[in-house]
Amino acid sequence: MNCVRVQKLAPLYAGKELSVRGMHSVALHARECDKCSNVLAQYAETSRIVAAYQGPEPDDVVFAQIRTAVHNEIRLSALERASIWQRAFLISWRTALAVACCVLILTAILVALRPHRNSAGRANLAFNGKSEGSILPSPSPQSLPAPTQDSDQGARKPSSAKRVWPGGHSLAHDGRWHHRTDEAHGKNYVAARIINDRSPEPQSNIRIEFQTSDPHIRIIWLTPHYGEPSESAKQASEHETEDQTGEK
Amino acid sequence: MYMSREKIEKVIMPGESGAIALQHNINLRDQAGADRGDWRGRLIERVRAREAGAFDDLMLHYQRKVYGVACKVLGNVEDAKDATQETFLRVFKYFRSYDSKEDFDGWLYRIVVNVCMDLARKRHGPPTMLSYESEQESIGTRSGLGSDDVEAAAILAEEQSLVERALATLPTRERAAIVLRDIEQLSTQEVARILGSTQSTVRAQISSARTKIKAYCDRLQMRRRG
Repeated sequence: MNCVRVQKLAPLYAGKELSVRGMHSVALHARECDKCSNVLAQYAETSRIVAAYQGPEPDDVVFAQIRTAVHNEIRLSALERASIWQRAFLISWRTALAVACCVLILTAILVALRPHRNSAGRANLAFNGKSEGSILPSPSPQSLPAPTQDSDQGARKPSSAKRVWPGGHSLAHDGRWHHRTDEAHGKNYVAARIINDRSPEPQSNIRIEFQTSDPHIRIIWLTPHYGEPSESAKQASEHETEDQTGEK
Repeated sequence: MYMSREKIEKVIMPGESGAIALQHNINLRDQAGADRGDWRGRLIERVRAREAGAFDDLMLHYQRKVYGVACKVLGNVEDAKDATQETFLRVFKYFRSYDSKEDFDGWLYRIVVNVCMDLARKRHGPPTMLSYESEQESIGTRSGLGSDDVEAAAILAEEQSLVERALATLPTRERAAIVLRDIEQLSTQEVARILGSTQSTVRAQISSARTKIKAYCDRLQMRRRG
């Protein structure tokens, strides 16, 4: 080991931070080299002085002041934290009150705009022929007018009309689901389709009036009356029923 | 229970032989260390449980150590006071994050060093150092030394002042490394853990710091001679 290397390692040698082999090599070199030995001694002396350094030591009054300041800071921070929570609570309380008011107002508006339950129910029952006050029975395929053969619309097959179900969702599903839909809606479906296809002239209008539970509200329903169904309409309806059973 | 070194020395019986006395001394020291560890563990548990007065006891126990490290790293008495205060505040604030398996002293040293680094970053201008004369006077009056001891006290004060000035010339990280390693007598591994760096980095910092301190001392001596 040469002098340059030893002098480079001298600071670490003074703190005994070299490996055992490094310490041994430096010590061996220092025995032979006075200059390096002197450098190592200087570093050792510096290390001793540094290790003996104690720094200024204040009296207990200073420490008491520090402790008091720490306690005050802790108390202040606790108070600040409490005030933050209080503020947060106040904000949330106000927000909650505002939201509750909005919800109440919206609910009141919705209730005011909602149609009366009794009148709507009676109207539905009347349409299905189940209401006490109903005049018109539910439409049946037999009561529909006969389609005219010379008309373009009349040339359509009843089976093709199935695809024109209002809502159109029966086309996107398989046959089984389709039949169920037809079963569920049955007569009304046929009646609606043929009325739309034929657009016949009504023989007369029927006026139906419902008196709701509210004396100020009366529902008046005007509907066309087509009279007795013709033979061709009956045949079309039968054909329709056969198609449906065949698909099933 | 904590037992000071003086107390341990007094406990040794005068009639005992050297070997027995030494063994007795070692046993007592081990027991004292264990008691001290138990006492410290109990104190930490008390602080964790937010027991009244526990944190005050903790501050009383560690205030000198914290202040000493802060003073040596910062080289400024006023900054050291601020650092001590801030350190205890952080200890109080982050005590929940302290893992009881970890060494509390190491955790505390890490906080002190971080606080000192923050303060050193904020501080503008060179540190205000104690003058050699004022230090010499304070040592003479404080310890009430006789005329024979004044020379020794003067040498000691000179050395202290020299180290203080030499430390002030170092960068903050090197200063922290040398303070922890050479003055606080921690191992290189512990210093590396406290500073959050590797052992080789700490060794390089310590080596550089020792070289600079030695160079400073050499320059000062040459100036005095010349």
